[in-house]
Amino acid sequence: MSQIVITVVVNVAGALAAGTPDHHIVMIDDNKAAGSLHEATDRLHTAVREGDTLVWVVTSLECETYAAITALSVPDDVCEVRRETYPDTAVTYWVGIVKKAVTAPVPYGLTFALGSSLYTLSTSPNCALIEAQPIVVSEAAE
Amino acid sequence: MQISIMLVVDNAAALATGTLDGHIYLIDNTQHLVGVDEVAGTPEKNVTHVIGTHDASGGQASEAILNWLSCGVSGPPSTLPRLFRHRNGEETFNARLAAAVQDAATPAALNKLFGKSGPFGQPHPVMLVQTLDGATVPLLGGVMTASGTAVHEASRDSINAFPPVVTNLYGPAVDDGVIYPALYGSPDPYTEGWYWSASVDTSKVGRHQYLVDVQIHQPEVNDDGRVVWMPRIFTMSAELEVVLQPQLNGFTGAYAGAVLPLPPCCGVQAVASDAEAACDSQTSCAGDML
Repeated sequence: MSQIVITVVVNVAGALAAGTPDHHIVMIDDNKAAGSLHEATDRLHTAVREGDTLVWVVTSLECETYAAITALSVPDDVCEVRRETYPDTAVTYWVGIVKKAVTAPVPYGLTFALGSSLYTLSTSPNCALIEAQPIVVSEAAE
Repeated sequence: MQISIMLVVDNAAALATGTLDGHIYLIDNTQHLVGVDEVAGTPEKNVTHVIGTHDASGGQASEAILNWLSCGVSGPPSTLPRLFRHRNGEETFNARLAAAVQDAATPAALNKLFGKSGPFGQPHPVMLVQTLDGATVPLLGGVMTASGTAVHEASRDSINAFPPVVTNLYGPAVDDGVIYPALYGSPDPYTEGWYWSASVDTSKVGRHQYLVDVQIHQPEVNDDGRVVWMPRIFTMSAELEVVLQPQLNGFTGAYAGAVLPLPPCCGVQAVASDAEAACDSQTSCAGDML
């Protein structure tokens, strides 16, 4: 039961120009050692176990542009997600606890509010939660 | 044009393996401008495409600016105020102290409050961080993780959330005068808002290599038995691909910023009264122009 952080780097200008966040987001998580796949792509497969806390964090590639996740289409029975706000700020993040072991990949997509666009933009459900593998290599930090 | 290069570092993995290879992701906003489908991030693809423009006459039309930002793979977003954790930690501490003082109505409670045991008798958790020049500074409030909690002890979460810092940009691209880097502050956890930026001489077309030094802090136990976070420098090799494209008007697709060359059918002939006979080469031009 650990915390897994999924960082979503958004190219806001690119996504607004294309009309979709697909191919304009880069997702990275800190669980590569347990088997996460497709790091640094827009179709990250995050390795999770039952009880893990997942945190989705959004960063804009150009720091002056605005990007925030407004929805995650993760099934509630697998991981019920909610939006939280860092105290005393307007910066949000999403968090959820994995309710049950994931045996088959669970696909999900993300919906963003970008720039000053009145409409949210959604990705195709290319990301997924997958089953974590036992960590073979011990890290010196532990 | 301003090009953002984000370096996302898996600190714990880099410290464990002793290398940044495979543990640092270089993300920039130029891939789609040159039609590259793959996203930079794999070790052999640390290439940033710098678009230099020239106008229709061949003269150089604009330069490019590169901005590097680094963050840990478990860290909070860069939009969070740098001093956020200090404010939050201080507020929480003050709130707890105020509540405890209110509750401490008896001498026994006051003794406990100011005594050697209990939450306020113990020293406030402090992380000791050593800077590159050897000074040891206290980091009050700990390291902020992505979930908004401050972590003081050494753990995989705090190691990965501790901001990695780019300390130097050098190499052939700098020596050859392709890029002129400068430091504008630092994302150090104990200072505020610095980052590396560089202007690019876009006339130097081709591929140029540069090196990036990244500082990652590793917790170690010193002789006194205290944990001190020591700076470790890792080096990453990256490349710039400078390409030259004609500067175009994004709406019309025509050459921007220059008058010449004019298509032969346009100009004075199209204004003549017998406009239909005036243009005999570009058939659609005269009609559209009028």
